[in-house]
Parts: sequence; structure tokens; C-alpha cells
Amino acid sequence: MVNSNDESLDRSQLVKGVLDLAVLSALSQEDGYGYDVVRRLRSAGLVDVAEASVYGTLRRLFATGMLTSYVVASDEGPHRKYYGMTPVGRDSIAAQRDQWVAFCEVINTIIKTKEDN
Amino acid sequence: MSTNMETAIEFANKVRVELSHLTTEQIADLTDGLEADIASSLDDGADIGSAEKYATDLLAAAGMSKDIDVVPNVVDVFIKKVLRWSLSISDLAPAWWVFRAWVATQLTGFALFHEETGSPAFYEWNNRPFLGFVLFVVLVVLSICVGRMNIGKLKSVVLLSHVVLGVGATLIMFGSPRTHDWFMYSSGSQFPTTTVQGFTPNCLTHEVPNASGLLVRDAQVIIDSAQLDYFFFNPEYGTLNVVPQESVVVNQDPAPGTLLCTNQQVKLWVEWIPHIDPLTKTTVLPEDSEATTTTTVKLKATTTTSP
Repeated sequence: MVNSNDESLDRSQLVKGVLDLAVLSALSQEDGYGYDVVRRLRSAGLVDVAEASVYGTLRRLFATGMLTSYVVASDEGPHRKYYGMTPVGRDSIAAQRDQWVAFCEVINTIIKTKEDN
Repeated sequence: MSTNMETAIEFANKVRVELSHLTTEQIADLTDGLEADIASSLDDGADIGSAEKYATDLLAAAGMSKDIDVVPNVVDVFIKKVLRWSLSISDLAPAWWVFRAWVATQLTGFALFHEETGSPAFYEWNNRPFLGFVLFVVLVVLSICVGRMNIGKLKSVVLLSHVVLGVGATLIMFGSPRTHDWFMYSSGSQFPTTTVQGFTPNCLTHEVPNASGLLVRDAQVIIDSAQLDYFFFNPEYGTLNVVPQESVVVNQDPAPGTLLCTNQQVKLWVEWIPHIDPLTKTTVLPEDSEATTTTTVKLKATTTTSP
């Protein structure tokens, strides 16, 4: 689990680097609105992810065509904006996932090498 | 609409203010549906922080940080300050709650005691300060409760009560003759006067009021208010120095509506007073009457001048 502590600045930088992949993955199974995505990320362990960062990421992914969007009206107040995956988004998830796994392997190799020494 | 939703709408508007340097389309793209998300966050008990930080995070994540001016445009800064100020007016709600309670207290005092006290509006509670204070405290509590509650469908009722308060206060301020007179006197003004040319050239004139048929004491008040002098007269005894208050003015000279210069006198004819000794011109009480039943009025002037 990624928590806020003295190293939160580093962690927030880490989160920024993989937020696109995290948001796309959170929407890969089911459509959701902004705060719904925040909930999914937090329940998965990203407890300190900033809501505004998620909403901004959703807007940017939508603008680049990785997400689709539709509005659901509400009787109790303002409408909700839902997001769903597009084929472009699904392709992007696969590519980013491969990148992330490769990146982790590199980092793990470096860390292990240092530990062995 | 829930309280959280109202807070969310207010917060989203503040975020939009922080984004006001962007185009309308950009702001709409970034904040569409934001209210519902923020409300959900509030429902979960989350701390949404400041609108400024929120907007910064939103921009950065959306990849639009580059759209922020390095040196903010002066006009943009001014507009943003004005918008922030207008949104912060809602923070003055507690002051408004107290103010409307104060107005309601004064209106209540006016409705209950004005005829009795004859005081100008907003001074009705002077004779009952404790009662007035208690009512004020009660109305403040009531006002705060109404202000904090989710009025929902009662919004029109609250709005109507504000209209009633406003109209009532306005009527008191400008519709009550006594209040009007109080404002006139307190500001150092005199009663309305006119300067006329011709018969009474270049003098400050006052309109003679109608004192006929009034008791002496009432006639004195009304002519005093017109800033004129007067004297009492009886056809049989001539000018009178002392007149019982319960005497009646049967006629006057000049007639009501005539214009007189300041300090000119109005001749008030009083009916025959058997209690007055015409030679000494002092009040003579019947032997069987009590001294307290008849009071006399000391006259302001006894000489007559012609216009």
C-alpha cells in the first residue's frame, strides 16, 4: 500500500508517472465517473492519490481519444460524467503495461545488484 | 439538494474562478460534472482542500499547466480578485442572519408600541430594553437556525419573509411621519419653509395651521411646530395672559393656509371662560372645584405685529 509519510513527495512523483496506466486500468472492467475511479484506485492501495489529479487525467485521456465520455442526469442535482474505454485506450493499456513491467524488471535488477554487492 | 451538494457547487465555482485565465471551453472541459464528484467526495468525509490547490492539480494532471501565464495579466488578476470577492460574499451569511434579526426586532417593537410611545422608529424598545434584548436574542437564534437549515421547498417562504422585512423597514424609515420628523430634527433641519416675493418680501414664511376647534394645549403644539408665535384673545376681555388648557379655540386670525413670516403671530380666539378674572387676567377657580382639575398655560408672547 502506498501511504503518505515523509517520502510522500517521491511517491507522488511515482504515482504521477503511472497515473495514466492506473486510471485506464481502473476503467478497463467497468465504466465509472470521476470519484468512482478515485475510489477504485484508493481501494486498490493508492490511498493518497489526489482527486483533482485523477479528474485532470481523465480529461486528458478523453482528449487524446483513450476514453469515451457520456453524461448521466440526476434528479438530485448536477449530472455525472461517466468515462469508458475506447479501443485506442485498450491498446494503450497493453502497451503501457508492457512498458511498466519492463521498467520494474530493470529497477528490480538494479536493486538486486546493489543488494548482492 | 443536500448540504454537501450545495458545498460542492460552491467549491466548483471557486475552482472555475481559479481557472478563469483559460477559455470558456477549456474551463467547461475541465470542470464538467465536477460538482457531483466533489459531492461524492464530501459524502465520504474527504477533505477537498483549497480551490486554488485543486485547480492547480487539475490543470497539471490535464496537461494544461503550460496555459498558465508565467506573469499573470493584470486584468486577469483583477477579474479573478473580483470573482473571488463575489463568491466570498456568501461567507458574510452570519452577519446577515444577525442583521435580519435586528430588523425583525425593530419591526416588532414598532408594531407593538409605536402608538403607545410615539417614539421614532428604531427607538421603540428604549422603554423596555431587557424585553427588547431578549426578543433580539431569540430572533437571532431563530435566524441562524433558518440560515443553517436546508430550506429546500421553503425557499420561497424565506424569500417572502425577507421581502416583508425589507418593505416593513422601508415603510418605517420613510412612511412614518414621526420617524420622518425625527430624521429631520436629528439632522439639524428645520421644517419646510419657503421664501416668497411680493406681499411679504424676502422673509422666511410659514403656513398657518388650522387650530380652530382644538383644545388650547393642542393648538399650542400645532402652531409651535409651524414655528409661529401666537396669542389668545377673547372678544370680551381682549388679550389673555393665562388660559386654561381645556379651553377651546373657536376661531383664528389669519385663516389656515395663510403665509406668515417667522415670529409673526396668530390670533387665537378662545371661548368665554367664566373662570378667568378679566381684570387680573389670571385663572379664577370656582370655589367648589379642586386646584388640580384646571391647569394653565403660560403664553409665549403677548404682543402683536402686523405682516
